Amino acid sequence: MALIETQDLRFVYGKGTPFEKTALNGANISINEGEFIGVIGHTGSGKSTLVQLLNGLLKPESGRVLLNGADIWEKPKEIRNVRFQVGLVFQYPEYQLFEETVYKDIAFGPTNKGIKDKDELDRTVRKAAEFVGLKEELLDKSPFDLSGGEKRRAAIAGVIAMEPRVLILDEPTAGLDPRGRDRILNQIKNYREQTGSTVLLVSHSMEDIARVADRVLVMNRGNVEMFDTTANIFKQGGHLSEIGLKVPQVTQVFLELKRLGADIDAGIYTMEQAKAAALEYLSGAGRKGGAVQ
Amino acid sequence: MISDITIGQFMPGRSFIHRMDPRMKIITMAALIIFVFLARNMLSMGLMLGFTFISMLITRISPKMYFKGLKAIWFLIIFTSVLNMLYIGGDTVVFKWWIFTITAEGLWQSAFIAMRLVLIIIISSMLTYTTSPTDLTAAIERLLAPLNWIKIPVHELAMMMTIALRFIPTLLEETEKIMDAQKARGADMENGGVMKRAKALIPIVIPLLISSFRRAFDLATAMDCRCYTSGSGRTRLNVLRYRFRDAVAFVTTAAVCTGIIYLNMLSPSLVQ
Ligand SMILES: Nc1ncnc2c1ncn2[C@@H]1O[C@H](COP(=O)(O)OP(=O)(O)OP(=O)(O)O)[C@@H](O)[C@H]1O
Ligand SMILES: [Mg+2]
Repeated sequence: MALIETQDLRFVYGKGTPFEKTALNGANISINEGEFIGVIGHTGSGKSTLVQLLNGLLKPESGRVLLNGADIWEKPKEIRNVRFQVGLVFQYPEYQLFEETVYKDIAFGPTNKGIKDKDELDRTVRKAAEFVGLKEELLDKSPFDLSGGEKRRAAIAGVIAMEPRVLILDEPTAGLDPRGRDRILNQIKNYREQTGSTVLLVSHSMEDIARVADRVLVMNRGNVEMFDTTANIFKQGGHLSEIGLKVPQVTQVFLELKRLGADIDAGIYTMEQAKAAALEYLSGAGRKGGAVQ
Repeated sequence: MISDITIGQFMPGRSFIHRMDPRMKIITMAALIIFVFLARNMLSMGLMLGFTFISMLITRISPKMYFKGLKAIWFLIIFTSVLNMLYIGGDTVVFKWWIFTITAEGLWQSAFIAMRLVLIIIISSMLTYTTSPTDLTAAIERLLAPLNWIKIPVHELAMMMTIALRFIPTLLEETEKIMDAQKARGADMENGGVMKRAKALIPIVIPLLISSFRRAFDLATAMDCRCYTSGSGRTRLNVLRYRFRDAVAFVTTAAVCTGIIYLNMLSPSLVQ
């Protein structure tokens, strides 16, 4: 059974006002336990709306969100339990920090969840800080004295500390330098490997998605355009560019090589795959006694 | 949701009233509000109600929007009306029970107070619904310009007002975002007693304050970088100009005001 499933999920902003806007128009997706899903789409395509519906921050106009087979809005009073199971890290989460120390801020979620035992709380907080690579000595600092990247990581730790079964990150690397981006991405990858949680990563960077995702969900104007394995998605460079998206740069190179007539697999989206495929092709081509000019 | 708040909300449109010079709107609507208090019998109050109602229709904004504005104060209206009904003495007793005496004079008094409150809210909503905040402050700045003579920094005050108005929607949006982010961490804002609810505000108010300060500093720096200096010598992008329709509005309002004074004299006054 799928861990999260949506059925004809629809959402409208500003219902009944002149500014009415259908942000999601019937989404049907199904995500299994332990999967790493990448979510891509043009700006305004409804990615943030979708993830907020998944953890019950927005209530669907129609359709259902099933968590473990049960409708999350069945008992509206208990919607908080859904939020502990489906942890959502917002776009620019550093603006939600408020406590005196980083430690207390990370502890906010688990405390709300009802963890009273000091030792257990301490263990959860420190583990979350470790996952995002926050050094011990930073925990006693004020969150407002951290650097931008450190604030971002503290905020992510605040959600990880609730130990959700599904972790959703809405553009966690937006506005960071390449090294900060790589670090956060690697930490998310490690987190997933160590805990086996399900992860949804919303991102504008195809390279990021290509590096980590098992399956990719492509959104376009409030619709689910494609939902398939990473390789299958990036093979369709033409379709992606029609809806204003790009494939990763290495994939572009291989799609172009294929167009030029090279007998090569175009479903390449990471550097390692590219290296292997290029070497294989070159040795194969060498045997045949010819190379692409 | 927080975004349902409509106070001071501008609703763009192309109606006669939308296109009036904002200065003339302020002048005529201020005059009307003064005359709401001068209307003392059913004839003059009827004229006032009629004129306001027609103006409402002219704006082409749905009456629902105006009543939304009233919702916030209906309690105040009922409360003051009931108080007046009970306290105003008179000779014609309509109803008597225990220590409560209701007289015809009291009834009229409270009816008038209710009508006045409703009219004031509707007229001032009409001003803010049909005038963009920038136009509104520009008009206030121009109307108050004479105060410069007694060394009141009118331009700076108007600028502060413009900025404050400009940031209301931004702050509301930000509040909603921060609330969502804290709810995602399991913050509980709907349940619990007064103390618990007050405490639940901390995770929202602190990030909001911090980001407001950050915004204020950023804005100040940006204004400095563009060499903003206040006061004399500044010109405007859109210069306010009175047009024919403003004259029409002025004459109509003046006629209505005169009419109210005239009608007041035709029948006895119903309020003290
Ligand atoms: N609070 C809101 N009120 C009204 N409309 C909104 C609101 N939030 C989003 N929208 C609209 O809904 C649509 C989908 O927005 P959403 O935030 O889900 O897009 P997104 O895919 O996350 O975009 P981005 O990549 O820019 O974050 C957009 O057209 C947007 O204008
Ligand atoms: Mg978004």
